[in-house]
Amino acid sequence: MGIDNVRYHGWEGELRTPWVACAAIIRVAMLQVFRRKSYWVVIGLGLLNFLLFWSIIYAVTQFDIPRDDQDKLLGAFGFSSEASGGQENGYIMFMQRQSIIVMILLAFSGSLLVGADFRFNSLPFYLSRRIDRRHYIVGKLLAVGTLVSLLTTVPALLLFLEYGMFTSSLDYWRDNWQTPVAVIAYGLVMSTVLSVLLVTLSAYLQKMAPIAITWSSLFVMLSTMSGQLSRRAADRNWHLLDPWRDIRYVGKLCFYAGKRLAGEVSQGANAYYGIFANDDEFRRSLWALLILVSVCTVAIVALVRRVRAVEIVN
Amino acid sequence: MASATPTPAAATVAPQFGAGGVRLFRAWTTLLMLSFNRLFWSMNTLMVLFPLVGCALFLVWRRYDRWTFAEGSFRAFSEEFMIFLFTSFVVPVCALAYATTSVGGDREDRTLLFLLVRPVPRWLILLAKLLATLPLVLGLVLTSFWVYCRLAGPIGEKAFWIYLTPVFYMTLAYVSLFHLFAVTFRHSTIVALIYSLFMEFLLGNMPGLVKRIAVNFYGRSMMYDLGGAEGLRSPDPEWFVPVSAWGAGCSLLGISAGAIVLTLLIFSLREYRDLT
Repeated sequence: MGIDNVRYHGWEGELRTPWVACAAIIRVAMLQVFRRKSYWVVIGLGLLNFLLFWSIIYAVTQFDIPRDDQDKLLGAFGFSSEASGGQENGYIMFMQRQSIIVMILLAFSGSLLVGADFRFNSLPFYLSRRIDRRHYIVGKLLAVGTLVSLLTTVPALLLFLEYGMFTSSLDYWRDNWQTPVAVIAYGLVMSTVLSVLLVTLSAYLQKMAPIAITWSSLFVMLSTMSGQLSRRAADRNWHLLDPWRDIRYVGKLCFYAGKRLAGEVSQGANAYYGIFANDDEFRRSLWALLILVSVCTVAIVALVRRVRAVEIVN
Repeated sequence: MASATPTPAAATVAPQFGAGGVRLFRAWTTLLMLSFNRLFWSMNTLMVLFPLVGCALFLVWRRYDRWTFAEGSFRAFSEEFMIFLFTSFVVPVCALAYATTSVGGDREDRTLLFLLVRPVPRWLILLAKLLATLPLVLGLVLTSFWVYCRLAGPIGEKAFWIYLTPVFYMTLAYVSLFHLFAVTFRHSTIVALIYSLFMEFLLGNMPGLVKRIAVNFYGRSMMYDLGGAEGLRSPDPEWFVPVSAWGAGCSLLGISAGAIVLTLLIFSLREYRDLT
């Protein structure tokens, strides 16, 4: 049958930039994830923590709890009853406490969203379209980043909304306008680092079990080890071994930058506005930033080398 | 003369039965070796070396007062390394690496169908998978445990003989449990990961009897009981009330036996619809 008879023909409309294909990659990734029941179970487990924080904020703002108890309760979750200073630690704490579930969700997603493309040779199909490996990599990074944001940034922003809604004025939102900006910045750091690491690991390891082993070793084992070494040596720099802690340090930098942006950073005794315990912690955060940038750069180079339309077999 | 010669039917049935048994045994041993080789020469073996080497480096740096035996050092080694790192992370991860992929790998690669259509009973297939996994996991866990104890010096030598039984029983329990996950759930690796890293941690920090459904609780109980003579003290009774070493050992063996029986039942009766 002639090709004209089956109505194959060139595209006659205006061609859009291939970067639009990233949106299609994200959409397909989300469909792949959300049609599986197991993912809903993991996401459900992730929402437990969100419900806990939601209930605490609700209880503190709605029930008549004595002031001391209120402060203690909020303090335990990183919030403060005053509309100034310290509340942002609650959002950092919340996003940090999602770590295990995010880790499990990503271990699950890596093989499905990226590993399967390599295992079942679907990568050449992606790259046979009008996109090159830049678009594929960015699409996959954004897909994984979206998943991370759904469990961390979005719930944290909802908590901020909730906190303000349960107070009797707009003061909370007005006084802390930089908090959601900082939450988004911290979320971006988390999403970027995790997606770069996961996509690279998945491109090389491909199957679920090795990805899960490596991923959990990176995030659970190193966390335990760094905590013990830090206690033993009385040196908190050991915490820099833990990728979650590094992300948290950089997250604190985001909140600090938010305060600076708002012109609320005073010099002297309260130079770090309650976000950093001391100058050492501030410096450690800068080291954490350097570590994350270096690791991500190496991972991206490895990923670019791995993503090829044609696999050369020796 | 005629009555002494066997009937054609008898002559054919007897050799067929014997040959069938031998063929079945050969098929089973082939499957056992194939499964063992497939598990051993896999990416999992390479990746599991990452936490194992990480733990060795940790011990080399941490030292635990290497050249002297002191009660405080033994306690620190037991709590920091044995309880919070080795039995809480390394043992489940080693078990997960092989136990979920022995059957789960075939499901993931869609090769289980070809296994099930062969004239080998399902319980024999499962037995081959289990027997291929156990030596690998036990070998890896016990060898690494021995190396770590050597790295820790005299404390480690003492700890090796004290904690060998809990480590062995825990490995057995995790392997059995993860086989149960593998025949029950499609994404057994993730279920095992959720169980070992999330549920056991969550349950382990809950007050009361809830924590008694976790494998880790019995392992820790055994270790606290056995290490008590060397100065290891169990945590605040408000949060953790350990059972005796004997009771914990029986519970771990019971969990292993129960999980294997359930796995056999499920694998024999279940119709897998996701094989093609």
